[in-house]
Amino acid sequence: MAKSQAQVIVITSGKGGVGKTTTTANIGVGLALLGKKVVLIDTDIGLRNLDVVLGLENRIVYDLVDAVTGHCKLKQALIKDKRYDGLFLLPAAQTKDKDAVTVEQMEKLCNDLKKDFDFIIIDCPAGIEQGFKNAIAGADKAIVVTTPEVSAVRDADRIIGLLDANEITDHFLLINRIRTDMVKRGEMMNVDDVLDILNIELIGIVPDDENVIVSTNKGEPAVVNMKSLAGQGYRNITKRLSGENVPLMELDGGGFFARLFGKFKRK
Amino acid sequence: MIIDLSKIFGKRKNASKEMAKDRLRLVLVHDRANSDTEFLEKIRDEIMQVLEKYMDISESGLDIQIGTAQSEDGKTLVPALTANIPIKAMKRNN
Amino acid sequence: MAEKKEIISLKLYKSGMVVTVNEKPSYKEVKEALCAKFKESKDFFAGVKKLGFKGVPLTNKEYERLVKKVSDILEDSVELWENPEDNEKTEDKDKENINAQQILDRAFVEAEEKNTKFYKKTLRSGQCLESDGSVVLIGDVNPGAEVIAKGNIFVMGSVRGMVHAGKDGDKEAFVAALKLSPTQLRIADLITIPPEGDDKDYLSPEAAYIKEDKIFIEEFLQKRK
Repeated sequence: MAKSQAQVIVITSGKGGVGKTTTTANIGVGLALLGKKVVLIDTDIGLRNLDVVLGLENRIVYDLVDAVTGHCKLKQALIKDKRYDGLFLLPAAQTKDKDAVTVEQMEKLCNDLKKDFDFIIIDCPAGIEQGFKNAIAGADKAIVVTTPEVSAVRDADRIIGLLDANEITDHFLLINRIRTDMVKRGEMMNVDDVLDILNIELIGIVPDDENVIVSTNKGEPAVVNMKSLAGQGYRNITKRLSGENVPLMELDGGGFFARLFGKFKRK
Repeated sequence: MIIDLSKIFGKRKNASKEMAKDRLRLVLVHDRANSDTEFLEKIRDEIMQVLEKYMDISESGLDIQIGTAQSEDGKTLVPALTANIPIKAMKRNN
Repeated sequence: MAEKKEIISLKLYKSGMVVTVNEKPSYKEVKEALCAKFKESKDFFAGVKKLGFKGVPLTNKEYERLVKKVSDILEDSVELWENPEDNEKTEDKDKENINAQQILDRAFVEAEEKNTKFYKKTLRSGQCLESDGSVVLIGDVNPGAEVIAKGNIFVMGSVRGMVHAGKDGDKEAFVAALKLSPTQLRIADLITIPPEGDDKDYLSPEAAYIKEDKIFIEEFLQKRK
């Protein structure tokens, strides 16, 4: 199989707790369900979580640090998710020094993985220090996750600036945890408001949804739950990533997303 | 029982999201300016170039800052670029 | 390891005890070491009926005198076990019948040999306790934490993280804990994860050990009378 167009996408946000890891897990599983070969890399060394969100924590033998430092073969460190065909996880190290990985090693790792996968999705740690630099090192695209809150939007702006400075200009915004009721009351910024401020292309929106917490408890991402609104949001995003044209989901039947439809069709 | 009229009439002028937007705009102007150290330098140089065509100015006294100012309606703060440029002499129009 | 090898080491089998004489000693040294061991844990060794020897050979007469010494200490009749190696082989097959009780008993005999160290702390996510010998940990091992030991691991608390006993390949190593619900459990080069829905709310002391090349987990208190 010729895999000419492998995409390396980093999921980042600057601020912690906005849903990077949940997003990584959902996009990964979603793409695998679309028949893609996907590897998820957790670069949050010392605070790994992607394994738990995916329910793979008990299968870890080797980790990212082992793989890039040659303590094991890359293939040995990849955990195959038995539930979703084509999905693999490269977990972060938990008990090692967080500076154990270098930018060069990350670049090489991404290049090596490109041969075998359609998508390489990198879960970036919060912050803008070495972990962030490592996470974006091998990426050619970025999804910036934010929520409609001042702190998250501000940090997203900073991250977009840093991505530009690192020549990752292929970046998209994902607005997470939108609460329709609050948006209607004018107590939460809507999609337009956030886009107005950040001036960046949108990849999708994910409504606030209790199912996400239930899914995380079970170690089974919301994207597989057909009843979950957040799952729907993530399914749309994965379709867009794989090249399909999907209109933005309507949260309340109202027309305030109309402008964004237009925005997306341009893609 | 207090009824929130703004809810009924859909008037959202004072809703918190507007405050969020205003505050964000302000803070992002600062963030963006401060994260790029060359940014103000560039502005300064280019302003100098234009002004020197018309007047003699003291380069050492030049002061350019990103700050805040009252908006036109006087209710909110807006980001503002303040430039303080001492003029030594005007050039004569030829 | 800098530690001087012990003059003798003991190994308990179902049909008796085998004493390995590790270096060329005088008879007196062997006798003193053996008597010391038996006096030290007299209760534990009670019930041993046969005593065999291997390693550096002594004379038959010396063997008999040693057996006599031991039976005096235990105040019980102990006989000499001829050719314990043969028995060892059959007993190795007998290992199918070992249970957690015997595994734990072994730990007492090996406590010195395996350089057992005691720790009192709770290991939290990201922390790793590594040991060149056996570990007795008074505290919990939380998810994301690791205990890795060359020898045995005994946790007076709950194990929810990763534990690896016998990391250099010692298949006789074991893990015991007041509550054993690890993310992952390894002994030597075997890796296992507990079955789903196995998480108990109450403490149930369990030991994990290798039998027939599989890791078994078994409650170890139920067999006490």
